[in-house]
Amino acid sequence: MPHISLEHITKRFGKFVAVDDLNLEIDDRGFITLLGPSGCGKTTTLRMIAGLETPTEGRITIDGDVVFDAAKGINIPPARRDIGFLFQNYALWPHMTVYQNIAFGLENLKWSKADTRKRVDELLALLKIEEFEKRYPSELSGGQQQRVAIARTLAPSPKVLFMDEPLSNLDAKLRQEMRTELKRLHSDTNSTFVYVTHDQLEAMTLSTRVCLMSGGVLQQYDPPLTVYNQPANRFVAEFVGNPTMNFIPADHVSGEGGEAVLRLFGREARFTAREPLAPHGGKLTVGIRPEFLPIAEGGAIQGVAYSTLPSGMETTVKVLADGVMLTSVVFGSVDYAVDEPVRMDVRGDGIVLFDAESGKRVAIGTLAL
Amino acid sequence: MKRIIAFILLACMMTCLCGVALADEVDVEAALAEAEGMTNEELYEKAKEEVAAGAQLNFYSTTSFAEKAAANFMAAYPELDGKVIYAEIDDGETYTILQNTIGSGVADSADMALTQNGSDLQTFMLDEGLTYSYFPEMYKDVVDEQFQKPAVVTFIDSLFIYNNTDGSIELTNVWQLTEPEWAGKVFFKDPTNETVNINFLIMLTSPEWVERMEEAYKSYYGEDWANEEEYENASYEWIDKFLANVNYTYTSASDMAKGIASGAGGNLGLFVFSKLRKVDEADRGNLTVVQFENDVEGFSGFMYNVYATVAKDTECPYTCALFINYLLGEEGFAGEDSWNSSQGYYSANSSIEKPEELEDEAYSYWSDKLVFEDAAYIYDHYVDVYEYISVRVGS
Amino acid sequence: MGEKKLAHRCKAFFSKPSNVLLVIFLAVLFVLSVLPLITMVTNMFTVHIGTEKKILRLQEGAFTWNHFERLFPISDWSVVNFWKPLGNSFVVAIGAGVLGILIGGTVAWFITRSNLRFKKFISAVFVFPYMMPAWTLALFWINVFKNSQVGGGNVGILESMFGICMPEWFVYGLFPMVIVIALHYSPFAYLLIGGILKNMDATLEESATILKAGRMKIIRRITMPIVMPAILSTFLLIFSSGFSSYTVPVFLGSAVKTFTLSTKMRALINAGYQGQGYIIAFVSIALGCFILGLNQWFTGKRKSFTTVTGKSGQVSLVDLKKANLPISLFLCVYVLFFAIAPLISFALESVIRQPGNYSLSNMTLHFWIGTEASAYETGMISGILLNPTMWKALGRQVLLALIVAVIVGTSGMLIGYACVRRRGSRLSRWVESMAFFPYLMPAMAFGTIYLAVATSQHFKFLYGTFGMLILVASIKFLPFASRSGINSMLQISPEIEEAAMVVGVPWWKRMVRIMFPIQKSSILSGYLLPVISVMREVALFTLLVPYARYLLTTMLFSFNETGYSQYGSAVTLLIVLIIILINTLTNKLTGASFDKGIGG
Repeated sequence: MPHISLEHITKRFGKFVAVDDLNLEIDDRGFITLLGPSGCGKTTTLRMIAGLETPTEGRITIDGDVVFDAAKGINIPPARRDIGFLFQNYALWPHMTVYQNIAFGLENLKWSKADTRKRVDELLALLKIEEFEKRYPSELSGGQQQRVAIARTLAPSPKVLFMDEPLSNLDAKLRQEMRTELKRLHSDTNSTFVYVTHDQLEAMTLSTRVCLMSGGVLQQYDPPLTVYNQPANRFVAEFVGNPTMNFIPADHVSGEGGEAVLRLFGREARFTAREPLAPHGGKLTVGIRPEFLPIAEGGAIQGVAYSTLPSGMETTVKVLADGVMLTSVVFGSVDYAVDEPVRMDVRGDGIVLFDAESGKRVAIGTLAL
Repeated sequence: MKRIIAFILLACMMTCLCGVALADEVDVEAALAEAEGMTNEELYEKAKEEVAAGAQLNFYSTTSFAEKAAANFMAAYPELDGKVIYAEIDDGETYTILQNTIGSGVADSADMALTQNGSDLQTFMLDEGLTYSYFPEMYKDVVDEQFQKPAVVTFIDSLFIYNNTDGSIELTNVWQLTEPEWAGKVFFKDPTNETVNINFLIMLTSPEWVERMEEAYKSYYGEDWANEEEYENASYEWIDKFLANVNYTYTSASDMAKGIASGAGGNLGLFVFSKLRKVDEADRGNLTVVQFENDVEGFSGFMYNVYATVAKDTECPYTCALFINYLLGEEGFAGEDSWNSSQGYYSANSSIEKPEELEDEAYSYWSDKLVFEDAAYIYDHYVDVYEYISVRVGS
Repeated sequence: MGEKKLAHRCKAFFSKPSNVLLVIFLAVLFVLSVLPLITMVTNMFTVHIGTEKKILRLQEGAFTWNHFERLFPISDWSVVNFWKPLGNSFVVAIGAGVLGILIGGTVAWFITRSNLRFKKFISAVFVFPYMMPAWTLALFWINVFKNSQVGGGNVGILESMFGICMPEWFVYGLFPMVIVIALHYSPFAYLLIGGILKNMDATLEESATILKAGRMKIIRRITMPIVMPAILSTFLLIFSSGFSSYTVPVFLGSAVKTFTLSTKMRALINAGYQGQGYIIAFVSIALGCFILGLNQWFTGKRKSFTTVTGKSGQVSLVDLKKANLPISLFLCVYVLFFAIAPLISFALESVIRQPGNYSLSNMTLHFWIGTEASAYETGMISGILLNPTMWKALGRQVLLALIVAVIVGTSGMLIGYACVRRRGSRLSRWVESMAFFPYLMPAMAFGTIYLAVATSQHFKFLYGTFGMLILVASIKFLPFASRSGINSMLQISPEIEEAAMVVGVPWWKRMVRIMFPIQKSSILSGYLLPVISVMREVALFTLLVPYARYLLTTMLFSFNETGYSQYGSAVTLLIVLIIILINTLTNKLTGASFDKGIGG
């Protein structure tokens, strides 16, 4: 079954390094997202696995077969990698009807007319686009086009399905809907999905594992909750989660093993880590998710309300404390006047310490102010 | 992808092949030598064999009457019907084209050529062995020897012709045309672009013609020519002053004939006599040939030759020979609608007269009134005169 | 290991069809457009058989500086044969460029940006002069304006109808050359500039209107700079064509002894001064390159403008108000005179016996369908419609046009594909500019170069063949096809092709089933343009046909040169009608038309 492995994959465009020495194992039937800001190399990585782009160095195996090996000069074309590819702009063929778009690939694989008909009908039903069969892409809405593109991609039953930001052209509501469908599709089709997105929420909600990249370098490759709760570095912590994590500069005063005394907001605080602190440079950053920073009367941190952003179910409150902008999420609807004094507390055991210099995670634990 | 490459390769090869295929060689020179002594009947038999073997006679010509002559020829020799193909070529490019097609194996390249400008014919064709001259023994006695090798098929003359609607211009001496009053009223095709015209001017600089120009000068001005400071000789002075008066409005002789006929009275042209036939009948009366009014001291125009030569790689030398015999004889030259039916064409065959009804005379009449070309003289003096004239025309 | 790596790299490189195509085209273009240039350059330094050999007393093929020494340093010879013609060519080229852009640009603006009336008619007919061979317009000009005061004193249409005599400078010489060439190429300016104006985002102008800028100010400060690249490339085109125009100066210049470089080039070559002729050809090409460089440098700085071709829904049309009717009528009269009147005059000229007499009794269909009866007078066996030579020439011309169109259109599309796929790579840039290079070579110079190649030892088999004409026309007309190929391929996102690649569609099938159908109309236009170009081209072929009546256009040119004016008019009319027919048919059947090939 399709297990994909990337070994030392590097891609250079002239002097620019798009992907740098990437190693990645993608499990069978996983739903992997390649996540990162634009230009981080995620699309390039996807295209290299699919065979649309040729890596400069390294080796790629799909299902045990070497499909690319720079040293041995192996480069299997995309058609023979048994994959499907869903493009960001759908890339539907404008001169073919919906039926023809879906059937074209099958015809090309020498399917019989009857089999093709049957398979296309199946897909039209699966994606609920039966009534558009005879229409041209330009006569469909964005969401409908998206479904046609998915149907076309699924038609030859590829073992691996690559998707390049497939939802980015849809409006928010439709995107939500399609996410549900995609997740459903994943379990229905029994294939491996590799999904590129810059939307961390999409990555969190859809995937079994997230591969977070930045500047062509792999940052963290873990299940979504691990990435959320145990970010490997400050970049990951900052990129994942909305509202974003709070970062407070702190000095390491004393302490050994899992215990440390930190100085932040001009006072000392005790940090108790789950494991001993990793080596660090003394200057630290404390990372606190907004949900671990509740607004509480008599809280340890004194600040003023900067702005309040209610969204119905919850309210995001921005608080300025000691020159640092902090974000807290409050359940329900509250409203604070601008510059109203507010106090906040720190709670929970998911407080993360980063090395201020390298950005690497030093420890996870509780913080007592 | 492979198909594309294959297609491109195929296309390249096809292009190459177009030129290469060729049948087995014929010893043309020997065949022509043999043909010279043969009768037309014998040649016809040989020609039939050649045609049966798949040959056809492509002949390139600068004179359009040849097309009609070919049609008559095929009517006379019905088994050759459809096998004689006429191709008109522009005078300026004649030798460039012949030089490059003869012997190259190009399909449809010339088997025979009717060309003018003997000097270039000698330089580019005969000296290089690209074409051979041929002349049949049967006409040895009726054609002047100098017109036998290469064979002159026809002479063509250019004459002084003017628009008579304002009465006679009374041109009696060529030196009149150097006077300022003629400025813009003499029409002549640009000699730097027209070989027969430049050849005529070159011939004027030959010792014989310089002498005649000096005589004309003396008779016109009453004194000997003595302007050595400015000009090399009298002819150069005439050329310079004549060209200064020339109007180059018309780029073709036919247009010149028609244009002068329908244009202003008193305009004079020096152009191909035969082009009078292109002038609409209603206008033709407006034109007068100076020579038919009076003699002109100096000359009344000039005469040039059209030669027939046979390509070295023809597959049908006997057919070519038969065709040349035909053109030199009465039925070819004077056949229906052929050269002899028009003014301004003359056979080198002295037994052929111009028809009575035409206002024209035989070759012998013109021989002392016109400037004739001498290929050898032109060959030697082309550069000097061309460069002199080129500067005159342009400034 | 290093070798192996190289082998792997090569294999990877050639596994992409676009790379294979680029390498093939690079090789082919190098052989067909750079090598001939090298041949020509060597001809500039060698002695040729005939005149040169005689003057220089050197062996044929020997090295010499003589051609340069004769042509460049000031002397009577060089002034007459080079410097004066050079000046004239400059005047004609620049004048025609400016005037052509003024005419074409103005009409384009009126059609795309104002509420002009009769738009459909004007825009359809305005492009006619481009379909006629340029010199036929020159003949039309002479027929209209000649008069008893100039040239041979023959009365033209204007004088016979209104008694007006135009002065000589108006009838013959540089002035009418400028006008005629400008008229012939103004449709180009119209299509190129109109294309930009049509696609220009109206909000650019609208936002200026909101800021209370006046109409003229908007045109001057916003519209003009945006169409500047189109104006410059049009100028380049007309300049190049005007500079190298051969046929127009022949008819309009001879009467007043006005020669241009291209007429001198042919005269010199025919007179046996080949070396100097080739130098002139080279000068024309070098100048074209210089102008192109200038153009690129200029547009390079303004690159951002070329991207402003976003589609806009509503274009607000300028209300011409009271001026509308007069301007509309004026433009109608204009197109009637320069596009319709020549056709009528050709039709008339082809049926009258005696020039200048338009009475019914003087009319005859002899020149169209006559038989042998009066062949003696006209020098032709029969009227053109019954003349086998004419039909053969027509057949060859149409066949040539079709073959060239297939080759050029397909190559253009493939070059477009390959260059777009590998955009930014050095290889792609080379191919792109090499495919564009023939554009800079004047047709006459191009013919001359190929003459030199075909007359050289190894390529003699090419001379005078149909294959040769195909080859030369294909290269000469490649630039527009490759331009339109690149433009149309740029509009297809690569994913469209990749989507097919993933399901294993082979390359050729992707081209045939996906790429081609999507850009059908613009690609077909890329096929149509060469058809039209070949149908009316003469300067390119005149040196290369085995004899004048080989092709219809060379036959026509020799008719016009030798004074078979009625036959000439008939053939001209035939050519224009065939072109219009082909264009209309293609348009009706596929929606493509030749203007899209240029404007795209």
